[in-house]
Amino acid sequence: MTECKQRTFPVVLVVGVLLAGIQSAGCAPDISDTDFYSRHPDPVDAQPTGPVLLEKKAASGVALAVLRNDQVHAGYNELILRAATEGTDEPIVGVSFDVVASTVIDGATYVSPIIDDASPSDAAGEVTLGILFLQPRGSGQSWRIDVSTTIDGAPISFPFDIVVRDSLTVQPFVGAGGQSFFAAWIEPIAPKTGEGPLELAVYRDTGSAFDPVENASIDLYPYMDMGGGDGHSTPFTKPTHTSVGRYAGTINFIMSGGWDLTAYLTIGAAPADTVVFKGFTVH
Amino acid sequence: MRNASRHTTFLLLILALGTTVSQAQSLVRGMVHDSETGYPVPLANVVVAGLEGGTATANDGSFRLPVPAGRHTVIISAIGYERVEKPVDTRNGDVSLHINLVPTILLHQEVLVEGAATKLSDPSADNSLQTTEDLMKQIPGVDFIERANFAWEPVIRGMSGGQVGLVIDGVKVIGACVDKMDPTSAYVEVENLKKLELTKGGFDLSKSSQIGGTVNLVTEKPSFDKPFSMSAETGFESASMQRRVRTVVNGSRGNTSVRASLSYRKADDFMPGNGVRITNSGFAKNNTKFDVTQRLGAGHRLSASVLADNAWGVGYPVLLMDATLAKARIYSLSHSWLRQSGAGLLQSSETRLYTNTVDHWMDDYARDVDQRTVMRSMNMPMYGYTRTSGVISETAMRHGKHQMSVTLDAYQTKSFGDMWMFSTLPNIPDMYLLNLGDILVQNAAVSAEYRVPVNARLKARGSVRLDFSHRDVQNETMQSILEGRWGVADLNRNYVVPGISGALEYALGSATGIRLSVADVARLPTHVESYGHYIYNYTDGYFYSGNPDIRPERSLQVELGFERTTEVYGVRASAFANRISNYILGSSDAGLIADAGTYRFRVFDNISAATLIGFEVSGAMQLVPAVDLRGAISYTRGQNLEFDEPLPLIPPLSTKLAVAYTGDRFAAEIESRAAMPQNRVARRAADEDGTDGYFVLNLRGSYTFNDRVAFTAGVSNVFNVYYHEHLSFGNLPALGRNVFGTLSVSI
Ligand SMILES: [Cu+2]
Repeated sequence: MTECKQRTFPVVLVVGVLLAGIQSAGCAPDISDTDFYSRHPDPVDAQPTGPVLLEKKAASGVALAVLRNDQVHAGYNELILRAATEGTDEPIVGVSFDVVASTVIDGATYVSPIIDDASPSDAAGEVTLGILFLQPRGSGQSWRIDVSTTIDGAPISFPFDIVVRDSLTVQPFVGAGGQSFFAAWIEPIAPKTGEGPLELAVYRDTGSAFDPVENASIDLYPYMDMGGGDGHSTPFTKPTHTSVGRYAGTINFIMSGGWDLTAYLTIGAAPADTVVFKGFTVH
Repeated sequence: MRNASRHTTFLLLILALGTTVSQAQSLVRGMVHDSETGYPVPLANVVVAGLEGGTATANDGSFRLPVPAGRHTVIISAIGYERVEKPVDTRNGDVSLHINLVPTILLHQEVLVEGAATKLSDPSADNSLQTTEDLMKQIPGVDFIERANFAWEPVIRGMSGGQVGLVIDGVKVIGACVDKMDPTSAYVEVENLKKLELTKGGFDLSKSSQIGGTVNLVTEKPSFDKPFSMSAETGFESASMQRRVRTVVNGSRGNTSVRASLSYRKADDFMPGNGVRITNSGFAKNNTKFDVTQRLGAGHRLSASVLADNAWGVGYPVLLMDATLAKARIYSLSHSWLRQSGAGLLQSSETRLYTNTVDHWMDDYARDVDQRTVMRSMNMPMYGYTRTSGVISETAMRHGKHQMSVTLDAYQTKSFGDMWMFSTLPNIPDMYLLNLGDILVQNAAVSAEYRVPVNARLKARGSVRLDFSHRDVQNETMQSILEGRWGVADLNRNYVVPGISGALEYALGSATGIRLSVADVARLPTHVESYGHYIYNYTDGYFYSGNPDIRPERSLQVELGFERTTEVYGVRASAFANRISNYILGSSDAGLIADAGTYRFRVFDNISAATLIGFEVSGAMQLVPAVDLRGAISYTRGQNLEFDEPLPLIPPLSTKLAVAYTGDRFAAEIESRAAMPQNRVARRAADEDGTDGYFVLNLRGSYTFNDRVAFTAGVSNVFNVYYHEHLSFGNLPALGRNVFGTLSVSI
C-alpha cells in the first residue's frame, strides 16, 4: 500500500506532462502537397497540345494539308505538310515536295530565303518544313506557299495563302551605310532550360529581295530581368557563319522564365545596330 | 599549488599517524590488468576515497595499500583507462582485489560526453543542457555556425560542412536544405542522446570521409534494467519564451525491450541583449523516437529504430527566407553481437542497415520582399529532399595483444532542390531554378584500425580508410545545363580516396601521458560542391555553382597531446597543425558577372592550399571538497595560402571558466564564457567582417527533491550583454539574459 501511494504522485505527474506534451505538440503542418505555384496565377501556356490544321487542299486525287505547331508568326516557323489520298485519307509515303514561299511588297516579289525541307514524307505522309517569313514593311503580311510535287508521274501544285502575325523573332536594323537589314531568330523554336543550339540569320533588304549576309559577326548578351533592378546573364558561344545568311552557336539557359537576347552585329568591318529579341519565355 | 602542498601535508600527517598512533590497520592488495589485453597495468593510481595518500601499481600490476579497518571505496585510475571504484570491507582483515581496467579510446582523442539521457532522472549529472548543441559547445575546439535561434551547424577546429563527418549511430543523414538549415545534429534531442563521440581532427577514419573531425551521436536504446520506467521533463526559457516537454517510456519483458520518446519545443521571437526582440526568429519542433530490441541469446541482439523529426515555422531573421517545414524520417535495423565467453579472433560486431528521408520547404511569404535589397520584389519558395540508404558494419577482432577493427561503410544519396521565383512586379514572368537536379552519390568505404600496446608504457594505433565514390546527375535538364556549361560529354565522376592515420601514446607516469597523432587524409567533395546550381550563399552573398571536376581536399595533420590526471586536478592539452591542399572555396564565376545587376556568382574550386593551427587546453581542479574549478581555452588560426588572407569561419580565441559545487541534492555552477575579438577574417574569399569580443556570465543550479523529482534553474547571460558570435550569420545577436527552469520526474 505505501509502495503504491508513493508512486501515485509521480505517475500522475508523468502522465500529466505526457498528455500536456502530446496536446501541445499536435502535428507538424502537412504541407507535403503544398504547391507554391498555386499561390500564383497560372502561366499562359503558349504551346498548343498538337498540330493544328491551317489549310487543306485537294487536286488530282491528292489531299494536302498544312498544319502548324505554333501560331504562324513572322520569323522562323515549323509547318507540317501532310499528303493523303483524297477520300480514303491513306497517307502518301515517300513523296518529296518543292516549296517556295513568297510575299509581294510594293510590287516586288520577295522569296523566303530559308526553307528547310525534310522530304520525303514519312509513314504518316508528313514532311516538316522550316520556313522563314520576313516582314520588310511591318505587320499583317500575307505569304503564299507554293507546294508542288509529282505523284504517279503527274505534276500537282498547291498554292496556300497564309497570314503571319507579328513576332519579336525578326528584328530590322540599319547598317553603317544606312542599308536595311533583318536579324532573325531561327533556333531554338521553343527555348528550354539547358544547353542547346542557337541559330540566327542575317539578311539585307535590297528593295526587291532578301540578300543573305555572309560576312557578319555577332556577339550576344542574354539577360534575364528578375525585376527590382536585378538580373543576370547565361553562358553561350558566339554564333558563327554556317551557310546562306545563317549563323550557329549555342546557348545554355540556366533557368526558366523571361529572357532577352541582345545581338551586337558587325557587317564586314562596320559595326551596325544592335537588335534585341526581347521577352521570350524559356521553359 | 595550494592544494598540492596541502596534499603533501596530509600525506606526511598520515605517515606520521601511521607510525605513532596505534590503530587497527588492514591491507588492500591486488593486481591491475588491462581488460582487453590481459597485460598488467603499471603505475596505476590506487587511492581510498576520503583518505589521503595512496599508492601506484608496480610493473607487474600489483599494489599494496594499508588502510584503517572499516568500509572503504578503493579508486583505481590510470591514464588511458576508465576509472574503477571498488567497495571493500576490511573489518575482518585484509582484502585482495583483481581489477580489470577498460581502456578508454583516448588514443582516438575522442572526447566522450555522456549525454543528458541520465539528466531526465538525474539533473545533477550535468547542469542544465537543453539541446545537443549545448552539450557539444562544452567541448573546447567546437563552435557553431548560427543561422537562427535553431539547429546550428558544428565547426570543429575551424572546419565545417563536408570537412566534418556528423553521423547518428554511424548513420549518414544528408541535409536537404541548400542553405544548410537542417544540420543532422538537430534530429537527436537530448533525451535520446546517450553519448556524443567526438574526434577533433581527421584521426578517426571509421565514421566518414572527413578531414576535420567526426561527431557520432549515439542514441539511447531500450534498456533491460527495469520492467517499466518512465520520465518526463518540462522546461522554460525566458529569452525566446521557449517551452519544452520531453517524455521517455521504457519497458522490457523477457528478451524484448522497447523505448519510446516524444518531445516538443516551441519558441517565440527571441530577445538579444539590447532588449529589441528579433522578429521572425521563433520555431516549433517535435521529435519522436521508437526503438525495440530483441535479445537472441549467445550475445546476439536485433534492434529496430524509427526516428521522426519535424520543425516548422522556423524563422531565419538574417536569411532571405524561413523554413516552412523540415521533416526527417530515419529508420534503421541493426544486429549486434558480443562474444560472451571463451577466446577467439572475433570479439564483437555490429551491422546496421538504414534508410532515411529529409524533406525541406522554405519560403519568404512572411517577408516584405519589396523592401529588401537582394532578390527584391519576388517570392521564392524552395523545396529540397534527400533520400539516403546504406549499411555500416563494424567487426572487432583480437589476437593476443593485437586488436583490430574493420568497418564497411556504404551508402547512396539522391538529392533534389529547386526554387520558384514569383515576381511581385508586372511583366516579369515566373522563374524556375533547379538547384540540385537528382544528384546521385554512391559511396563505399572500408576502414581498418589496428591497436597494440608496444610495452607497458607505449601504445600505438594505426588506421587506414579507402573511399570509393561514384556520382552523377540524373535530371536531364540539369545534365544539359551542366554539360554545356563545363563542356563535358557526361557528368558522372568517380573518386578513389585513401587516408591513413597513426598515433602513439606514452605514459610518463601513473598520471601523465603524452600523445602524438599524425594523419594524411582526404574528404570527398559534397554533392553541392560537385553539382550545385546557383545556390545562394548567405555568408558572402554570392550564388555558388558546383564544379564536376572538383578534387577532394587533402589534409596532412599532426597533433601533440598531453594529459595529466591526479586526484586533485586534471589537465588536458593539445596542439595541432593542419595543412590542407586542394582547399575548396568559391572562385569568381566570370562568365556571368558583366552587367548582371546586384547578383554575384562564384564556382567551387580547389585553391592551392590552406593551413590551420591551434590548441585547446582544458582543466579541472578541486578547490575544496565538492567544489571544482573548471576552465578551457581554445584557439584556431586559419590561413588561405593562395589569397594570403585568413580562412573564413574561424572562431576567435575563446575561454570558459566555471566554479561548480556538487552536493548530494544541490548542485550549482557559475560559468563565464569569453571570446576575443576576431579580426582575422576572409575579406576576399567570403566578404567576412570582424567581430568584437565578449564576456558573458551564466548561473545555474539544480535540486533533487528525491530520487524522482528534480528541479533545475538558471540564468544565462546574466548581465544581458548584447553580442554576437563570430560564426553567426549576418551578425545575428545571441540571446540576451535568459532565465530558464526545468522540472523533471521519473518513475
Ligand atoms: Cu532551408
